[in-house]
Amino acid sequence: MWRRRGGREGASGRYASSSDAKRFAARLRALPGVTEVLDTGADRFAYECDGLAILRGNPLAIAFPDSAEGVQGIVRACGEAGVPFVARGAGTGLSGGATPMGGAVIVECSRMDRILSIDATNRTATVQPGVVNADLSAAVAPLGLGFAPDPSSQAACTIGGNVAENSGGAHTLKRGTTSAHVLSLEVVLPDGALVELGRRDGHAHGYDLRGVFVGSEGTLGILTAATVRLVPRPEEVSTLLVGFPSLGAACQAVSDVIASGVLPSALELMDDRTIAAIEASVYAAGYPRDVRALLLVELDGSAAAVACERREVERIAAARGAIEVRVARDEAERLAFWRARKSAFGALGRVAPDLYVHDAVVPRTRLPDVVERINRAAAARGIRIANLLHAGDGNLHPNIAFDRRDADEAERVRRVGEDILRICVDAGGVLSGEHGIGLEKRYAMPLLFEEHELEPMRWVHDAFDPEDRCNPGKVIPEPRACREGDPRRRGDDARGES
Amino acid sequence: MNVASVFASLVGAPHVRAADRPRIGDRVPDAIVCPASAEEVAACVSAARRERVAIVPSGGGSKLHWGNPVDAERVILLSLARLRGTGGLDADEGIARVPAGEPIDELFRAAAAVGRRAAFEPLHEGATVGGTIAADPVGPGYGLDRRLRDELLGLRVVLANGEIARMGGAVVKNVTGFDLVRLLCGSHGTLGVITEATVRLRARPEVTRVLARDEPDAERAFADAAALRELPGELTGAALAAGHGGLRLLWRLEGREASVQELETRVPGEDSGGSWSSVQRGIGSARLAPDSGRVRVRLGARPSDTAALWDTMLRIAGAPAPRIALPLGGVVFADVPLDALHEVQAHVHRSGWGMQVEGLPVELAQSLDAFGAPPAGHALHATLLCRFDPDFVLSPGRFVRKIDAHP
Repeated sequence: MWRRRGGREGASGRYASSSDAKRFAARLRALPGVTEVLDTGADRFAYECDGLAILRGNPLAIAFPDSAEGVQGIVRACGEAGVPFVARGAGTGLSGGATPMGGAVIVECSRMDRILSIDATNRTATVQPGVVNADLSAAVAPLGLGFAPDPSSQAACTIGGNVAENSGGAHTLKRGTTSAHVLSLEVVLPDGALVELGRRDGHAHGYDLRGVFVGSEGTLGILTAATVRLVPRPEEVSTLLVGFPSLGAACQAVSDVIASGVLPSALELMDDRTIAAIEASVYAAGYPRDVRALLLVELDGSAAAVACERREVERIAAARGAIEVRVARDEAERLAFWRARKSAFGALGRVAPDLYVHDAVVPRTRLPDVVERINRAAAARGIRIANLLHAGDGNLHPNIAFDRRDADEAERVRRVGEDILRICVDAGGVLSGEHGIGLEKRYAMPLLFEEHELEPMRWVHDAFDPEDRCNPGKVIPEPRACREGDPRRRGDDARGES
Repeated sequence: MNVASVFASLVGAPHVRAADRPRIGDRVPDAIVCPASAEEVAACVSAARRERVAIVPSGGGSKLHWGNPVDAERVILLSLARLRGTGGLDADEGIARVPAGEPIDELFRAAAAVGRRAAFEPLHEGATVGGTIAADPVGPGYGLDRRLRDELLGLRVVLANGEIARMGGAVVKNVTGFDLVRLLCGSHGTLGVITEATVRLRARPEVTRVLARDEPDAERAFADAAALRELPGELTGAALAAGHGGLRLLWRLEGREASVQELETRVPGEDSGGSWSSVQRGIGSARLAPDSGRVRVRLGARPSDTAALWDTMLRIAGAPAPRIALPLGGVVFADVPLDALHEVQAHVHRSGWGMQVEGLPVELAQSLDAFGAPPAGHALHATLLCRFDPDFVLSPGRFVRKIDAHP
């Protein structure tokens, strides 16, 4: 959670003067494989944060490589100068993972956007990190294939960001998060070495460094290419909207669906505030407004399987008192249902100047109780929450629309955020399901892990980045002794906007 | 103080016994120690570090012939067989928290009783939850569905420093910190001793059908096998098995009755329900008898190269060598004559394929690595191991040689 800290970090980070910083930027500009370097005040301002705009850093410069060679050059130059660096894709992350700390150089990977190869026979693709998630699926669609992870930001977010955050999305329930879809990663390590983690044929041996790199939020190195699995497009897809008179009834229906053996490809839940925001926006899809909770259920597979499962879902919906069940009549309506759902954050963002999107996971059967407790905790602080859930996964996204210029409201929002995490951890949950820890929740890691349980994560980090140059100040808190001994501990130089 | 007495004071004398035969590959351990809890495991690991005794964790012992020889003067086999219980199944939530020593078969039975199933494929006789996670074997669904590591939610692990650490969680989606669960999966007991796992449970399929057909020749067999890939999600396994009369293609369909019935008409085959266990047990066979003059080798490549793997084994090692292929996963299991092993390894290395020897004889251990060529960036793997186990207590020398070697 963001906090106001004393003073603003020096404009040039670790550089003593702006002229030194300019000289360093010029050095980066001259590197092979680097197409552009931005370092004016206005440019740096634009890169102070990612999708979590309430936490800001101060980059030294923004460098745009177009190749692994360019990334290696930047990383080595930073190493020699003692400057940290942080990779960035589309900047859609919601936990401050790409926020530049300690005067870091931003390695902007959006120009590494080529699909290097597609192997339809073995259903794999090798791509650069700046390829946009939806573009990859579009490119392989004519082959009857797709890339399974589909975060709401898929029209903008990149594969590099998906790997960094182990992104999920609505269809995680059936197909798993990014980690299940990555075979190998070409990575520039913090010392500038280029290595492959995993193998393109999937038969890697040694430790699963691929697995630990995915979701490491850019703290172990910079991705320069990924070989990913592609999945066949299902023969049949059926999408249903099911309206309920209460959030609890909808949550019960979710548990019933899973218990019945039906495994939907997506099982999304929206509360009435979210529905109202969507229907008041340009993304309106005709969602029913007279319900307290709405399930978006997608079934896919063979035609026979989908028909069976749809009957089962309709039976469960009726048993749980559904007010309305609507099946998408055609592909256009199905896409409209999804466009509205995936635009929910945008729609909620219209309600107030700022939107704080939370992300936590609890055991699915605890959802009704947890949502109720969160709503109560927020109400006690005078805050209204709109809930959006990947309900089949137990993944909650409580959304808070607020105005950060109102210091009192911003402080209450901050406290509600802490309440949410405590409620979820108390319920046996975890701090994040898909947005990551980043800068935002680093402080909260001790809520979940004992000090000695954080140590193995530090061992992993030290093996990759012993000098702590790669996206410092993220994910893993400093050892308790350091936290208690140094009030200006690393990572606390983020400028809070509260 | 002798090794047995050190550990007897920690777990009780009745739970420490002498080994009467080679148990860890060709090595006779100095003692077999059977702790009853994670806390006792932790005490054993701490004592082992202090006394400079290596530990090789074991579940059912079904894969102790995998890997390279232990590189330590003294070693104990740490049996987790007393860490049992299936009381942690939550059918509604769809998760199971299971002690590491619980046999896979028992987990299956307990899960089936509540209409659920875990992602483990019953391959190795007597295999346990912990041992299967540590070894991460390849099963007949490889390349089709998510792997075991994708269905693992959390672990409880005794680290080499004697601390007991939780990794992951008990929820199905989690990006809270680094993914240590995946790191431990397949680490062959070198990064920590797994004492408990939390795994995802799925609903049991309405029906399971295994179909089979005899193939006239290898070319047709691999083409037919590749065509299975066009079947939808109900296809959960496929294998080509060598038999007396040639190759036999087997495939498993699981799901709704109506759906499976419809798929049976698309790719016709004869009902072969009982044959699937022969595929599973064929993949998970015990160590080949020393007098057979052969060792089991697992080869890996892109799925489209499976036929090439098979042909290569035939050419180098002769007709009985390739036993089972997983054509959609790019895997071939072959029983290779010892005198052909070096040539197989050289060819695999040149082709950029993967190779793992199950049951590497000690006389070949100096010239061959049970895991084949070291992975790219092996120095990083080695650095990681040094961070986790600086004193080389946990299964030293057993893992990939370039990674797991004393500096």
